[in-house]
Amino acid sequence: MTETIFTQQEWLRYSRHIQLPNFGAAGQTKLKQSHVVIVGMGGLGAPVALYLAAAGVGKFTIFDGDTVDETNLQRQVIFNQNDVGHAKALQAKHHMLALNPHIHIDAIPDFFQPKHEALIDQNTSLVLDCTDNFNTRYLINDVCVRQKVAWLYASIHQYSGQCALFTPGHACFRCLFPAPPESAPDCNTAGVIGVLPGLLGLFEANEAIKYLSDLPLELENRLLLFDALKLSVQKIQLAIDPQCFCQTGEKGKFSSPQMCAEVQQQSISVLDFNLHRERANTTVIDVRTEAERLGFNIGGQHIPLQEILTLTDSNNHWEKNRQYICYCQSGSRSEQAAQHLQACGLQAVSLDGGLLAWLKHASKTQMLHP
Amino acid sequence: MNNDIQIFYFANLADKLNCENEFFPLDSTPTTLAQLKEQLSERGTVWHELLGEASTRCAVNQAIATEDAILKRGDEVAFFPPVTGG
Ligand SMILES: [Zn+2]
Repeated sequence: MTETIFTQQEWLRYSRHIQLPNFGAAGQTKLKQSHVVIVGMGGLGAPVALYLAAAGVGKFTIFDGDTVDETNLQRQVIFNQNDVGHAKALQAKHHMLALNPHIHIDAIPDFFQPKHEALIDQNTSLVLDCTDNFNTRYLINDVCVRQKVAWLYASIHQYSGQCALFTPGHACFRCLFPAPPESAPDCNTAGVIGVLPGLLGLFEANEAIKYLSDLPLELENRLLLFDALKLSVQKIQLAIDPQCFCQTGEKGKFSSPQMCAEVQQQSISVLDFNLHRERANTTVIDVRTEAERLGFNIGGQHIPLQEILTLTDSNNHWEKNRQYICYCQSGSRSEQAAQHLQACGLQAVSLDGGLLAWLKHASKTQMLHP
Repeated sequence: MNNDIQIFYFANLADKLNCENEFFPLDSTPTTLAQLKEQLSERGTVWHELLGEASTRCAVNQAIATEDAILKRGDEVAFFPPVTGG
């Protein structure tokens, strides 16, 4: 036998693709030679990752800075009970490789941020947006416009979903939505029917496979509007906005997109605190007085509540993409601090029950030192 | 012969306006999309606010349309907001 693109086992595995009219060995080869970037491993990312891994896309880069929690399991079908508390990106990689060992995966347990821009370049075949916020979507859009890389957008709300394929030379996401949603209450109704992200994720995966294997595209430069209750679908033709930065190149005229007022958690448990504090993008802040700090502390930076309350949103020592966890003695001052930081546009939570709760937990589990 | 257009409202617009789709008579021609929005906004504050939001987009006959688009009998108009979840 001469050297072949596929191994014996792969050829058998992908036989239903290879026997598919208009797809065939050529389509499968294109999948294998593709490199996709999946941003977000939640309700959308789970089916996207599973189906594209099963389909035989050769290389993946997957991003998610979060850990799996119990409420994710209602829809994020790539995870199971044993994954709770563990990093989504790493667990997803594990499950994708268990499904298909013939693929390569770079798992990045971090949220997609400007510092990751270099990971999307001419070798990237396609980026799949599986995030849950507009900030990241604008970032993906801007990077993909600059790098001339195609990307798929999908998002959901209650019973509605949207999906679109943005390719170089056509309208971009900012042409479609120059402004982020204004009404915060939309984001506060966090309920979602579990199969909806699954459906939208599969619209994305379907369009991704067609894009990667050069099949005709239905969502290129078009926005799909889907209603899960009525099962109605509309496809809207998009148009370039001549004022958009993708046309003028003037990045500066856009105000930085506001974070969708997602329901920010107010407090986290001791267990989550111990998990989160290990993360590179997390900063713990002790908001107690100098005397308390000197008396005993469990690490982190020391910024007394009074000082935090003087912060304004224009202060640039704080990072929007960083998670700040505040703690005090019993949890009420840290809650005030977290609320104020949130009002300044930062991601902040408070350790529920404070240092006392942490100490009780530590004594129970014999964990004597932070 | 009527002068109806059909209007669709998507996602939270349908919830908040309590209307998924309707037939709407154009009272004069030509009517622009901006004029249609004005007429619909007269229905009350919620309509005024939601249709006036910068993020609310509009399509005429399944194609993104700008405020100066001219509507004619039988047109299909769709209003939709960005949705943000995942
Ligand atoms: Zn654009």
